[in-house]
Amino acid sequence: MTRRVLVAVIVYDGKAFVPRALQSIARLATHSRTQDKSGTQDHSRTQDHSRTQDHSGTQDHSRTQDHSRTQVDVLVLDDASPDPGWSEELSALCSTLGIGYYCSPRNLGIPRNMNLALLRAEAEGYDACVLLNSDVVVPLNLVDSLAAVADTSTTIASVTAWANDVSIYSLANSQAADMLASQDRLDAVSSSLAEEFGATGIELPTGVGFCLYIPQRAIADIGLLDPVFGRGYAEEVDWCCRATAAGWHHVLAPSAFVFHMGSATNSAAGVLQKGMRTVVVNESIVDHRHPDYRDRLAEWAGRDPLAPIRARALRRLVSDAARSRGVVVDATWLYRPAPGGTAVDDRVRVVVAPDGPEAVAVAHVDGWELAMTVGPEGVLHTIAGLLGVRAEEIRLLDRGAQAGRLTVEAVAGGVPVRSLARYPERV
Amino acid sequence: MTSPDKHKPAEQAAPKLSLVAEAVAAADAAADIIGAIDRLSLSQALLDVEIANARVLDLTARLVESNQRADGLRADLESVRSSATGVRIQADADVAAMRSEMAVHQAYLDEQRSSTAYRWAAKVWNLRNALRS
Repeated sequence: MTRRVLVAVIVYDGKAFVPRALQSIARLATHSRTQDKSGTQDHSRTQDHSRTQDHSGTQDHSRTQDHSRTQVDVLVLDDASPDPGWSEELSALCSTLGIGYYCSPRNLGIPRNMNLALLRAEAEGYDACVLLNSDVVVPLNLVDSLAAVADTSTTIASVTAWANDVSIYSLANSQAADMLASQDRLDAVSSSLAEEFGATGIELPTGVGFCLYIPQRAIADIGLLDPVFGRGYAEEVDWCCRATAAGWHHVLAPSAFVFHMGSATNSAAGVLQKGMRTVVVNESIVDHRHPDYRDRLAEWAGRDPLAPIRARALRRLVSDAARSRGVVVDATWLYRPAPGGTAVDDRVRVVVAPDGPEAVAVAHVDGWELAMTVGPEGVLHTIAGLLGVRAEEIRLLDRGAQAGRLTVEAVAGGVPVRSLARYPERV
Repeated sequence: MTSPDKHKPAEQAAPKLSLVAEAVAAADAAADIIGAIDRLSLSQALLDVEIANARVLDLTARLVESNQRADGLRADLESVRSSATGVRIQADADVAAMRSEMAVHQAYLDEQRSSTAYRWAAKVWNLRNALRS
């Protein structure tokens, strides 16, 4: 049975980034047309669930239906930017990429454009709709991963993709613009996370509209987004709260990782005033309609069910990099990442504080940071246990008691040590 | 033997025709999308307007009702204020009258106490009390 998904991208401005975003998104349609998925199984059957831990708030109910193929169609919704010539450029780009394009005769704002996408999906008989911002780069496994999570339960109203910038659910990356905006790197990251997490969904109080998968059955029951939110902001919060009140729930898919530039979309669309990070009136509407929302959000944030997921994700990504590129240990007070994405040395760097009562180690690679609890056996032993590989060398850029212990451990383990310290005393 | 060049024009025309056909099909598909979404957009816009109007009517009715209640409460407050003012004025007048009367009585008492007969009566009374004790 073929699952049909409409991926709708709402565009207003952001000329600098949109072509890149659309090229990334268009691949989803191309991929679905060229791949014959009749021989592959969907994620919920192939993933080894014994690897997934039982986190409070994870969803793993009976599957809804089996889909052996996914057909993806992409539709760009141009919200009539006043920028001269931009709509024409966009239309030509969509034609080149072979994706659908529609320009509103008037600027409608984000909620009404989202509604157009959902109406189109309903009218054309799609099984689900993915609402996407135009400031994203998406992985090839996006739709399959989101759909697999949605299929784990008939009461899931929305699945939000994971990203470097997705409100309080983010998986932070200190070099996202350089590292994650690369298509190949993003595909690799999302693929690793899909292997790690499979169809696991993490319960959320509300989805985030930057990349939101909505099954058609949810729209049929809950309805569309409310245009009272004007040009946008918090409209998906209201929709999600309505869904929750009707017995649905919302999950995050850690197996689908998207690069998200951030508030670029709302700023470019004129939703956010300069310097503002929210629309106060829209927040007030949410508070008035759903007085329990803030409490639910605070309760979720206090419980933080994503914390172990983040730890697992970082460990997986860093250990993947360690296995493919190697590990070096730097004893230094100062860590500076290699400049923008073309590091001469792209190995995992484990930075150890050279002095102090306890060993403190943080692994850095591709903008990811994994804090490591050093065991009594020492840093190198911890690295081998956590990342699955031995460190290739130790570089001493500063001196101290911890650097001394590290040296002893390295010599005992046959790991080369290079002293690069320039100062005789600790700075 | 037929020259291979004789077939070239037909072979060259075939790919060009298919490109044209593809372009026409793509343009038709694009036009279909536009037409279909135009219809969806229009019908939804009409619904949105209906909902927006209904909300305006509802909010206006609630605003009018709230204003009427506010006016009523203001009138009640004014009435209570007026009553309170009247009571206060009357109370002030009563207090003033009582003070006047008290002053009159005090003056009479002072006059009595200062008379010769009162002073002699007080002395006799004190002497009597002293003899008895």
